Amino acid sequence: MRAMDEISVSQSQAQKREKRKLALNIAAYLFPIIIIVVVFVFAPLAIILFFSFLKSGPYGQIVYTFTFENIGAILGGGYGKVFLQSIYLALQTNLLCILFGYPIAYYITRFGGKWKTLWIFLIIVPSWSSYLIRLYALKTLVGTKGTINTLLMNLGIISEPIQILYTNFAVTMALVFAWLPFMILPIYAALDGLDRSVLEAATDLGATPFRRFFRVTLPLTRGGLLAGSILVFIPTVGEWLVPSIFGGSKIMMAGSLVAHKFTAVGNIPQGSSLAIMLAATLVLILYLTIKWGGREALEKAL
Amino acid sequence: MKKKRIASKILWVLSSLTLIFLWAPMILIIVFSFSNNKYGSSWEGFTLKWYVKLFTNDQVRDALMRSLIIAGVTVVVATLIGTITAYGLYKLNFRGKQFLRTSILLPIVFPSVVTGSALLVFFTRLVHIPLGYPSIIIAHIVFCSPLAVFIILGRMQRFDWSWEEAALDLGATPFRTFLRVTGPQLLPAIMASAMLIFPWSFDDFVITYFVAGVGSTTLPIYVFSQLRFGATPVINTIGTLFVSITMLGMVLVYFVQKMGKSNS
Amino acid sequence: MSGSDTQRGNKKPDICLEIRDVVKQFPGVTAVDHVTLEIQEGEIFSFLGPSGCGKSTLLRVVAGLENQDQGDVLIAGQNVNELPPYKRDCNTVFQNHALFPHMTVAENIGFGLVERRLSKIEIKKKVAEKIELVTLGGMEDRRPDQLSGGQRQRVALARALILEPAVLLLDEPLAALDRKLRKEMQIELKRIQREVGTTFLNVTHDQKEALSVSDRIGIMNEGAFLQIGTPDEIYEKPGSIFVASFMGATNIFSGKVVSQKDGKVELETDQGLRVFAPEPENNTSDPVVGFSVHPELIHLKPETSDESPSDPANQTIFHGKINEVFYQGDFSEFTVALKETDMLITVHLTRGRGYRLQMPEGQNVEVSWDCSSNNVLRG
Repeated sequence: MRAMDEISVSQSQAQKREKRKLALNIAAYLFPIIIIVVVFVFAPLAIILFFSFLKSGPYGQIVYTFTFENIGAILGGGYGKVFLQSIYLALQTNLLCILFGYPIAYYITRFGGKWKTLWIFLIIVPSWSSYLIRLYALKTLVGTKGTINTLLMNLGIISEPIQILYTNFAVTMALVFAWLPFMILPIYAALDGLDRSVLEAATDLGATPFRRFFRVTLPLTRGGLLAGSILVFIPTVGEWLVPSIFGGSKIMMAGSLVAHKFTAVGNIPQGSSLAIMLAATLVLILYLTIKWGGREALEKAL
Repeated sequence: MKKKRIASKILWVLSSLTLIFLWAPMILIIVFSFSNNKYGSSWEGFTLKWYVKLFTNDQVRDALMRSLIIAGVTVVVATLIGTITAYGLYKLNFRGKQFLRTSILLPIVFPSVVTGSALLVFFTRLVHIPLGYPSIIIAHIVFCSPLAVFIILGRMQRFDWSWEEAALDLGATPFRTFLRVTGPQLLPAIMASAMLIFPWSFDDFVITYFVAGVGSTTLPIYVFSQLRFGATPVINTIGTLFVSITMLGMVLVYFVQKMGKSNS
Repeated sequence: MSGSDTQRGNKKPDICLEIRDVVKQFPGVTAVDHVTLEIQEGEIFSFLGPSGCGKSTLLRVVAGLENQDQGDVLIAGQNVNELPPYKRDCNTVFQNHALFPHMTVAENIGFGLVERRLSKIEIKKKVAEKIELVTLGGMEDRRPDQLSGGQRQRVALARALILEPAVLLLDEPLAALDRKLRKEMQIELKRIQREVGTTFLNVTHDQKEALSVSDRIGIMNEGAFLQIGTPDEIYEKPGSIFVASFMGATNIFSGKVVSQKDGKVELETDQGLRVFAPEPENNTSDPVVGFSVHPELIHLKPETSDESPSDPANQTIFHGKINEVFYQGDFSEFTVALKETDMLITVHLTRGRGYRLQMPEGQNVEVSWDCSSNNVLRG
């Protein structure tokens, strides 16, 4: 009996030692990231969550009275419409990116040949050049005094500049312009990873190229489509620069509302509530995506 | 076979149009950066004077230096944190690991305006961190570290860990093992994450704009402020340099990778 | 091209697949080099050859997955040169099975029927039949990644058979399986073929597999057929050095004819040894370059002082010394160094043929075999 007791004592001691070792390791390796997550992610989120139930005074100071006004303004009021508009624009952008992105990805995989690397290079470069500069460049092209208008007026085709900026069209175009590469690349990766013999099997079993695309190619590249959609849709919903440059005060998106409240108006409680709602919306969307499409797609997107 | 050729032609046209759409604005500003036109929006003969102006502009030099310092510090710190975090996440199993992983994702998933505004409120209302270098660098580390974590973790998952066991078996201490075997094997991933983080940090506008405060103008903030006043040829020159440097960097990475492959 | 004549006999079976002077070139290589071949209805024909010999390319030309540069392919008498794969009356079992990962077993098997626009009820009925044929009952709703290698194999087979093609093309379908499973599937393959009666065209690099499943075998190298015949013809009477060595013959000796009489030829090897061999049946213009003899046909006994009666025209006898012995379980392999030469000869003694004889390495022995075992090689 005594011997067995000793064994169990030494076992529990060993267990304790293991536990202590694990805790030590966690502390050693994960301390910095835990600090980042707790102090610089959760604490700021908590503080804006707290502020979103407060009021703003006439001089931008925070009045410490509890209120649901800010949240109410989003859920029931005009800000809610801006949120819906943002989701709508993001959805539209996403679909357009698929529509333009799939053919080019397909072309590169099937017919790219020795030019494959060059094509991919020409698609990656824009995705890595400065976001701001690219938007600026697009504005140079389509602005009121932009190249297109100047050219058309000099040629005498139009007498008045066409108003492209500050329209839904301009915002959508800019969003597609900005995010298209992030749709093309995952689709390309999915298409490139397709087993050629599976496609040959479909042909061999009587599927015409057209039927084969819809019965085999498209379903098998669903993962790439989903990854691309996550990469495009999520950042688009919270977009600020594009609506501020291409939408002006006419086309607002949720991101521009947040930025407006913080940087122009200085109403921290309202801004906080908008930011929290935006974050919550995205978490919900992401949750639904994962539930519908599986976790692998998300991890692949990263 | 004829049908196939027609299909490929149609796809080629579509793809080329898409590529033109992606590139036309960039090519335009590159062309205009050499144009005499003072609004930088049409062609009026060749000149290099905007480049001269760019390099003699104190504001630009200031902003560029600031951006480089911020990005440099961010790359070093975020890559370091990313490496040890990835190692810890891969090696250790504990309750709450999945939760930690998801939490690390948040700064990537949240829109920049949310991260930016939350950090701004945090820095000004809760802990008083001066707006400027400290706040900007902290913010950049916050949104860049997760990227490093997942790039390096992705590599670790495809890594042959029996090498590590072999090194331990041959008498290397865990630290020496990391130094001589694991570290060098992970080096490509660590380098890759550094090379991704640098442009991320250097190019970030939104979060930086929120937490920069007055006077800490980084290059993107400078570009943005100029945008408000309308197009200027100087931005064209900045854009041209940006695109050229990106392309150069990518070509470099491509050849380094190719050499690495042919060596091993 | 010897075997086809003997097979035809008096009644001429229908030709199911005809390949006429087909050439297929890839940059730098000629994968298929002027191949002409007829395959009869209902037989299992194997293309056998080392990797890179062009056998898979030829199969893909038949399937329409590659286009030949020259020549014609006729399936059931119809020229299919201009037909895309999805209109040809042949289906393929791919090397890696190529099952559709997003479809269930039943959906995979029914894929071709959906393309034929059959009604759901008909599809269900036919799929059920094929599932029974390949004994996969109960697996209908599984996905390919939930199946074992052998089960995937069966799905691929059922999927290709469901359109009742004139020819079923099998592109090394058993190569990915382990040895035991491969053996099982060979038996299955043969059973299924006998049941459905479809012509099978099987590509393989595995000699044992080709010998056990085929009605006829075509040995391929460098894009052309070297020999076509029944398994026993190919194994017992290889016509050339390449075929002999590819079929696993270890005793191949180069030499030339010194005399010829009474339906026998006398050969002299490069080392100066003389043997008699039956005159080869097919007289091609190619010169005789040597002979081969299978190790399992050779007798081995300890050398005794009294000379055995020698009859070199009927019995080949040499003396030598045992070089090495390898125990293999069902047989033992002896290598014997022949006296006064540097020739090594391999002998297989099965358990039934007294392989437990105490013959250690270094023992002087006498090897002997019947002259009819000598097989003349041309090249």
